Amino acid sequence: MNREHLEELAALDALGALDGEDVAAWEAAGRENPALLRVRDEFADVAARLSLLAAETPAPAALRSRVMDAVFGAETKRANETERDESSFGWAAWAAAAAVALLALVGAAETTARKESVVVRDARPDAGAPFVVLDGYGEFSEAKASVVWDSGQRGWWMQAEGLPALPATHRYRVWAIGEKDGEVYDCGEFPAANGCGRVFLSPDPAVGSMRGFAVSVEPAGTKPQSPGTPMVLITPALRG
Amino acid sequence: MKGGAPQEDARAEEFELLRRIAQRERAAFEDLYSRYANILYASALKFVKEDADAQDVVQDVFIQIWDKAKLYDPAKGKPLTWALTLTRNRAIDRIRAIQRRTRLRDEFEQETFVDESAGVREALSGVDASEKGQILRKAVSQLSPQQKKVIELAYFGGLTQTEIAEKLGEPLGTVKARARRGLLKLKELLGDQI
Repeated sequence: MNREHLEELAALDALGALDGEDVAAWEAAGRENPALLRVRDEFADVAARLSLLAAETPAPAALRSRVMDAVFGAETKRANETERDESSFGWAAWAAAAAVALLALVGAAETTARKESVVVRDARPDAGAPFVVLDGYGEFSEAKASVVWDSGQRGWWMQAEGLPALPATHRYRVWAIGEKDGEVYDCGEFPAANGCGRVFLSPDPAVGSMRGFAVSVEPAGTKPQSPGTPMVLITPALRG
Repeated sequence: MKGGAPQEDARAEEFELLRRIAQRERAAFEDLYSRYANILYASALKFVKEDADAQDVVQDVFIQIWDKAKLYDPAKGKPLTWALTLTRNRAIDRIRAIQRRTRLRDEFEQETFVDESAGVREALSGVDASEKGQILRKAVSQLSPQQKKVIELAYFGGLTQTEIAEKLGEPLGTVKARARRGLLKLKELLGDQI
């Protein structure tokens, strides 16, 4: 593979357009020659500046308080919950502003059992804040995750901890599992740092019924239509 | 507008804000919000078109900034371009979800994807009358129409290289070459101006 072809892969990766066999080829090239990653980053910097073609439009005033609530409402709640229950499994109960339902993963065994048996029947906004737990398996057995419906923002908040660090070439990816066999919907990457992470998932309203969520490990920069690897975390009821 | 001292100062301040955000300083986060909210909102709106969607995108991006500031690597780009990249990626995820929903809802609308991506057609025309907008437009105008189209479809439309090749009826190799040459040219023309 000559320099020009590698630069083409770098350019397409920067534009988020790599797919197919080129994804693996690019990852291998990046591992062998980190200087290529700098080329990609420079291209990405150029591409990002294209966004500045948008006319500056004042953000709605209400957005500020919404963002602050989402960020600091969760932080405050999380801090309070952590102080109140430090004997829990290391789970910090959390919330994301007034609109976000409180997660409390700790508690009595019957509560846990009830939560684990939850089958998400409806992803619509009136779903009554269903709550789903995901367990890790194999070398990911220390990992746990939870997903809760946020009726205010009409989406799911997923939080996880105990996630093993991945090589730079791979990312955690979240999937919603539909009612039918093989019905899997990509919910995007799960950003994890120091084993923890939190992400907002926009549901697909066309999916009337879901049975749960799962997480797989996928090559970075890819947008697979279906999981390319076995699930490493999954709603226990869905485990085969 | 060459990279003058005020621009350098602003970048240095933004680096510092991100460092403080990584240390969970609320004041720094609020300061960064004040600096970036309008530009990120405008950017999100350029992708998703609808105000409600753009607000959702911007909210998600600021949550990411709060959560990921400690992972920000200055070597990978300026704070603003980092935030713009987060915005673009989040907006594209949203567009894809909408497209998937549309396809699932009505399988007869096979042309929906094409029609929606057609909205990308003018994405690189830009409407920002500011100095930076003029610099960008001038640089973009020097791309060939073919290079511009490939970059538009990839960056603003969220299409993969294969989808672009299919849409344009061009060989994949041609698409790759246009993406590379287009970005190289923009990089050369923009330098460190914005």
